[in-house]
Amino acid sequence: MSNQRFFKKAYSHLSFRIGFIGSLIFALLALISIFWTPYDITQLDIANRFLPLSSQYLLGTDFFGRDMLSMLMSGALTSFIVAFIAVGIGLSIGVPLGLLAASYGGILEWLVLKGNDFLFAFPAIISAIIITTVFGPSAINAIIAIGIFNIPVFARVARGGALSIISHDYISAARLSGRSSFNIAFKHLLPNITSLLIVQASVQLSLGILAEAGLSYIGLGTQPPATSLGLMLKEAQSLFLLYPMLAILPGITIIAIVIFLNLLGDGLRDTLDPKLARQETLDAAS
Amino acid sequence: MPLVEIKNLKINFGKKTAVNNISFNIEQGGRFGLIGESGSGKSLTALAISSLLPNGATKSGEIFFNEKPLPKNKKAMARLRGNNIGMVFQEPMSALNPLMKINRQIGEAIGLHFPKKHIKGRINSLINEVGLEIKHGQRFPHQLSGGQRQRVMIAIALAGEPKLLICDEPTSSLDLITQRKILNLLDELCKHHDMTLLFISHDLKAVASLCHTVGVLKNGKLIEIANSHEIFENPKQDYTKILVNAAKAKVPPLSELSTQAPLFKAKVITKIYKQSGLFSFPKHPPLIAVNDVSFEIKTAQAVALVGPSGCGKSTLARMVVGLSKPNRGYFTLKEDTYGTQKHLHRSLQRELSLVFQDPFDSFNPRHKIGVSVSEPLRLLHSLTPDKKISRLHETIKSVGLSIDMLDRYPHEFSGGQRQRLAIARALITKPALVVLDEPVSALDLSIRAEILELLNNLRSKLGLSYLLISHDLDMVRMVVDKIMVMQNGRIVEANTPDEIFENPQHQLTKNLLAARL
Repeated sequence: MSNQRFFKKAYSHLSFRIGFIGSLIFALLALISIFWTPYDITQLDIANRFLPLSSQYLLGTDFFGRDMLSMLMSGALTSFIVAFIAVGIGLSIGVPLGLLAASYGGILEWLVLKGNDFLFAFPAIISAIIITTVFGPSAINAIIAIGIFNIPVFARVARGGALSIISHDYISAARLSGRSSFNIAFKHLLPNITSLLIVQASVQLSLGILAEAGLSYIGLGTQPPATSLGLMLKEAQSLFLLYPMLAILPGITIIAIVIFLNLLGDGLRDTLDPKLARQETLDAAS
Repeated sequence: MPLVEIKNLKINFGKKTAVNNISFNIEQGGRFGLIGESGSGKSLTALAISSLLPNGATKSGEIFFNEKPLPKNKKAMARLRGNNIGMVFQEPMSALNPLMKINRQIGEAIGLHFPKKHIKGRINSLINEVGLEIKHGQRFPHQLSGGQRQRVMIAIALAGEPKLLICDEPTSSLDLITQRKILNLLDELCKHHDMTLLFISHDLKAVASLCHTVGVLKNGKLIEIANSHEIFENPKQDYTKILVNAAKAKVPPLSELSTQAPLFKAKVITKIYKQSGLFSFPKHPPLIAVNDVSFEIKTAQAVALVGPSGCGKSTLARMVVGLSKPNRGYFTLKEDTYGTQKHLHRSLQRELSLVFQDPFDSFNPRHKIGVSVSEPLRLLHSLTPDKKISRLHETIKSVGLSIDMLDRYPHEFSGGQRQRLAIARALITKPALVVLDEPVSALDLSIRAEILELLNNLRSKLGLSYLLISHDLDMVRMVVDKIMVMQNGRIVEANTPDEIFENPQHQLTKNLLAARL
């Protein structure tokens, strides 16, 4: 299936369309904040604090008089960056481990599986607490903690996908052609599981954003003066009864991003699922 | 008086016509065989008779059952189907409930037609009738063999004492001996119950042995109807002629090619599979898949390994090409030895290749065909890139395909073309011994002869040796110089094809010969 055709098909899927457009809007807002925000968020303006929604400050201002829209934009940027890099860590370490485990089998597979179980035993928050108590709280440590949590997830998906492919005759043919297990893993197995990995990556991305918000909320992630959606929630907590908008806005943003990313993942899975693909050839015949 | 009357039946999927204007009658007590290749619309025709067409199919034309048109009302149709039509499908495992004992599954079907108190007696009489034993009723589907499962399916189909029995490729997943038994059973049952039979198959011989009338379907059109004797003796349409010739299978025989020079030897090869893990209890005895097998292949000789499914022939093939290692014994190819300990060396790997059974499974769907076919050239380091390309082109032409196909992906090829490509991949390193694992059994009948002819031509041109694995004696006879018959991991008989056919010694060989259609 060519990329263009695939995109067309995915785009006709309603939840993919909603998820794709929604995620794109938030990602663009986050990216714009690198170059431009309505107001500079490092500038404190105590005189204008706790302003309600108005034409001058679209979403009002917070307890330091910072523009909420600007805060949300750069907060989303931090969240996206943390989640993206963490997914990258998971992909670049977990996928090779899973592929090699499936392709070599034996002691290597055993080691990867046990290592996976070991990592799964520690949720992201716990490993983040360990890392931050050793190295001190920061966005980078949050990235590492979430990234480590992603490794076994991708390793498991890659191994599962690879196992279903490895019994095909063309893998035996490749072995007969003198390809090593290492070579088979990346030349034959990897191209056949990319769709699985893309779906899992979109799910892990939304989980990463949630995890970052959680870590920042308990003070183990992003540190001021940088901002993230979780940190905004934490700072607004004590003022919630007086100024609920300060907590509601970042909360809604987190929820929206996570829902959009999940819809995107659902749509991708439906489009890429081989069972549904078979259904499609039936539909195409009709 | 016809039991089923089909008039101008047309089945469409959207704009695509799957079945095009078919009309035929099945007489009361008659046996009608529908034959055609995959995708010719034969299964759809059967589904239309029982009103079980898949969603998205639109039907036009008329079908009369017992002189009445099929009811439009779904409930009425279900009643008609339940009381009058029994169906048997190709894959019995997927048609049976894996969590239910055989007795209950048969009983469920009986319960729809008979009062409760008769169920038990009926179950036993049905089990007996389809040639199973009472104890089989206490088992689950996975504890039965393929043939036994198919017998269960037939028992379930018979539960309502149907007037019409529809069998959709009931024997194509079974081995030859079992196929024969099932066909005999169907024959007996139809006689005994005075049932009408609609038998669907791609195998002309199976159809002809069972049916009085044969209809040939091609691309959704019924191109020929005749009685089964007539079809064989005097086919009218070109396509039918191809089918008949393929069934009689005439491939020009080769003159004696094999030399006396020994090429390959297998010495006391044994392969054992342990059936339990470290802590499981009680321990199963290990499965001996291949047991003390020794044989020899000479240069330019073609040797066949024949036996029922599960006899260990594919396991042996995988060991010969080095995909797995024997527990005991060794192989010698030319001067080099490999086996239990020694890994197959790269320089030796190029002398061996394997053609797989399923051409749809032997190419990576994400790779262009050219990439897949030239993959074994990795074994030839000394070849320059230019030479590799010219070798690829030369090989592709030698299997009768053109080089502009190399940029396509596997799904753009038909089964026959893919098997040619698989043969090209096996030949590209110029091996001495090619192992062919059921090379034509996944192909439509009409292209089998082509592929066999190609194999013969290549062998005489290149002086190849073949180890051909199959369960089909007739097919094997056209290609090889020597036949080895295998049972339960042992070679029980080995001789020239003529001797095997004229003068079989072992009981299994006799059974295999008797099962031929």
